[in-house]
Amino acid sequence: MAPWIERQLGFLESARASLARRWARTLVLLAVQALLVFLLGSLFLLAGALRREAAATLAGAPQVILQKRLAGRLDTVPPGALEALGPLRGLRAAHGRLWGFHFDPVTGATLTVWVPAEPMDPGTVRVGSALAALRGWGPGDRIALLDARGEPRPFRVVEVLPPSLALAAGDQLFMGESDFRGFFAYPEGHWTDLALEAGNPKEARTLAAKAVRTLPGTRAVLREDLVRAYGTILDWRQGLGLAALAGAILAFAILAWDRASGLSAEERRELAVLRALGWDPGHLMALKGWEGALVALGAFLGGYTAAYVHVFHFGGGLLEPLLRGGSAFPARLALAPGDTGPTALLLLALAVAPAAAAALVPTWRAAAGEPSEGMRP
Amino acid sequence: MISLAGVSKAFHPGTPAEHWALRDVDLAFEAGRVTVLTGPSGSGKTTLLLLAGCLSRPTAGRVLFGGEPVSHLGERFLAETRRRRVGFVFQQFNLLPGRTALQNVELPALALGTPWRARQARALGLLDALQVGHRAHADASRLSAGEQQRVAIARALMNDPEVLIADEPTANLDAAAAARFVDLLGRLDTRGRTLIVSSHDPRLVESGAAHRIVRLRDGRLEEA
Repeated sequence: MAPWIERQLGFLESARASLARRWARTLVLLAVQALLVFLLGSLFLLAGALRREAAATLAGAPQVILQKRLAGRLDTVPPGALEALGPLRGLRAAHGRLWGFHFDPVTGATLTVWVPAEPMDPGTVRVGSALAALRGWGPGDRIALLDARGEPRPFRVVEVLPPSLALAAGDQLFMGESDFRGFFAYPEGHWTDLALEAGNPKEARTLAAKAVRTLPGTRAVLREDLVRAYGTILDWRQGLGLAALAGAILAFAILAWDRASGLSAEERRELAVLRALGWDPGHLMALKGWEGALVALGAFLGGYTAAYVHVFHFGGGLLEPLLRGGSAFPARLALAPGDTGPTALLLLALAVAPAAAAALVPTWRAAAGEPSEGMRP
Repeated sequence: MISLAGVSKAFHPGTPAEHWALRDVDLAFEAGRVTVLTGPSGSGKTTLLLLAGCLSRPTAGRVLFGGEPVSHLGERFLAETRRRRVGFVFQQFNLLPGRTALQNVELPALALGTPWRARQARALGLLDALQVGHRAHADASRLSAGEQQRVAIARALMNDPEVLIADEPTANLDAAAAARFVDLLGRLDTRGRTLIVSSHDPRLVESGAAHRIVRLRDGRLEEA
């Protein structure tokens, strides 16, 4: 084996022994750095997972949503609107959507009621996992909801949606069209909004402009605008999270500076003895660099593993309210890991590089002057 | 061979606390010979050893190894000289606590990049030769003074240096351990190694192990 590698292996073993000897200090450093990696890791991983979830959810959204407005507020789309759009060039498909909000006095929460694209049997509902958990509903349960006239209307739960859909549909309830119109006293032929699909997705914005001209008093919301808006919101909230973590980062910086600004008398003497034995400044910095890197690597492995488990097994419960926003439905998100490699590499670099560098400054100082000076008690 | 040519050493030069520890010392240490530096406390013995061992630089004059001046070289080259050519046994032994005797002995070879097996074999061989092999895996801080000194000697010999320097080797030893060191001294000057020992212990000076006695007083050579 090359002498350089033998030397580094020797330094590595020596660094390990040195850290073990000062185990209490090592543990404190390890714990503080691991906590920081855990917090930053949780934030990055959760934000990344929410971005992916949002993108996946919105991928199924219509290219263009056309909404009717009256005096600046949303109004129902009147009968005949769909037919009026029929002749538009570039329109591949269009259909009306029905959805609304329902206040649930039992939970004090407002849930979203949808009519799905596929037909449902009358008197049946499918419910989101968060709503089901909050109300204690399961498949086969018979439930009653107060309709627009204040009368209880019976339904049978046929399905609880899987937790993997909790982000998009955790607080939602699905029922058939006739049930919806009866439940909300929604006028026949009216729609909440219209969903349009362009033949060429790149022409969606042009199609939206044509639709608005065809149906005065409407506005168009494009899927790409929704994707951008979600991204902006998540960026903003992640920035807010980083600002909130600034205190922790500052504490770590103080700790690193404390380490950088001086060595203990025992460490200075140890370095002086090593110099007397023929170690040059490069060897000493390799030794101390390995010490810093070992602590940081341990902190990274511990902190990142904890962050990964926190986000992908426990739904990022500690930071999820910050990034996702408040909700009456405390859903445990089932987030998919996706490609977390870049995040891991970023955190590894953030953890190891400064810690190793922080170990080098005092070593460089200790390597100045004569070795005999440092050995004096 | 190590030579000191017109070497002077001042501490805190140019300040009111200036102190000249050595003045105009011309001295050569020949290979294969044991030289004992003697003199009262504060006479400059340790300072001279530190200069000869490249652990300190002279304020004036030159230190030469094999006729080549080294004292003006950069720290990396001085460190390499210490690593490859000099073994130093300190008065306080300076073993690193929390490391075993074996790990302490291996330290000079770590910087040399000696392979692990060869490093350990040599360190254990030296500890055995110095009759402290049975304590190889004991923490250095738990060894007796005599054992610590033998470990320190093993460490100084680890890279097979041309020069072995020992500063007051019997100062921290009881009578029996000091006698053992005097006995050991006669066996260390093998293979043409230069031995330089400072001591004001009459047992060492009068032991007959020394080929040459050099006396220092107030930083000057009194007799060579």
